[in-house]
Amino acid sequence: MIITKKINYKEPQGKLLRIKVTFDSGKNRLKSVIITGDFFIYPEEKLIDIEKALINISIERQKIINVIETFMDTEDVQLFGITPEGISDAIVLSVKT
Amino acid sequence: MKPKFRLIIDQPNPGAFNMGIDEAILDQVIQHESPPTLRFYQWNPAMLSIGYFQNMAEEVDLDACQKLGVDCIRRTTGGGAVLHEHEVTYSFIAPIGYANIPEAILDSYQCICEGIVLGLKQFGINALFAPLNDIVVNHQKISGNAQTRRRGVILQHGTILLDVDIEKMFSLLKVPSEKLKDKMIQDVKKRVIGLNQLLKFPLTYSKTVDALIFGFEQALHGEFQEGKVSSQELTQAQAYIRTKYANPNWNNS
Repeated sequence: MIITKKINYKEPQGKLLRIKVTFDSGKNRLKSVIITGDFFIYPEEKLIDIEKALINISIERQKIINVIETFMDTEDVQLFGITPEGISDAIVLSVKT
Repeated sequence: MKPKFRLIIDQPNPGAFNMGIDEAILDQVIQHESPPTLRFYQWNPAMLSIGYFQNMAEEVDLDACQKLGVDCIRRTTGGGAVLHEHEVTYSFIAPIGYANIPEAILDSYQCICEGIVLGLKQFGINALFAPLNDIVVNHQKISGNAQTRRRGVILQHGTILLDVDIEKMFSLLKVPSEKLKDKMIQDVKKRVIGLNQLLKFPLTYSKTVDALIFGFEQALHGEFQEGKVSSQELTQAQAYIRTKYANPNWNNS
């Protein structure tokens, strides 16, 4: 079943993440992730590519972290006010709730 | 030799113009057409800005903004929603490494914010940089700052609050529930403060700017010489106003 969930998530000492997740509950895979909020990403236009990189990834905390970290390394992207762990926690939490 | 900066002291302008000029200066500094720059400005009409990664419909009550004559614009910098009304706004554009501006993001915020901290000292105010991107006085926020980086050049802009109107701000923002609204307003009132609440006499724009220039001179050991927005910057700003800041495709995406 395809399900869409929305969640607001704040890391300690971090900024607010608003995440909209659409996922396939049978396959436990992400169909789309939309991330908004008051954080910073450099360069800004790379957020959309991070969201794309998460499509079809299985919903497991470490797997999602790895995808984001690999993307940041290869594309030279920096996050400020959010972390790969925080994004992953928000996604996993939104699927569970 | 002291690092040199151009100083621009602007009058109040519409939000789209202010944001267009900031981004145009960034472009021209990247292309070595303009010198590193410190600009001061204000807003007319009042403007509500949201961060690059925020969604206008999610954050802002557009009807309320229209009723009160408040412009709404999405910035090119990240960060949160801000009502720009009774404040002094600055933008600082310089390459990383110039005047020893650090590469690390947090360090560079602190380095540039030090200009504001030292500026406020001129009024006997003991302000502190508060990570990630605020300046506080007695734990109350007096300044919020936002940065973008393009091709090794930093654009950091931010506000120094003169007066705060939390009720007005909240009347323009979407809040999760009307029930919680009063409590949120009370909470934010405790956490935010304007310069005029700290001083016996209200500050003028030019007095505040003079103190801040002094602060930036000290913080960056730089020399600030008053100049103007160039004709290339104006042309570029007009393009940004058209394609971005006065364009619903940009502001509402």
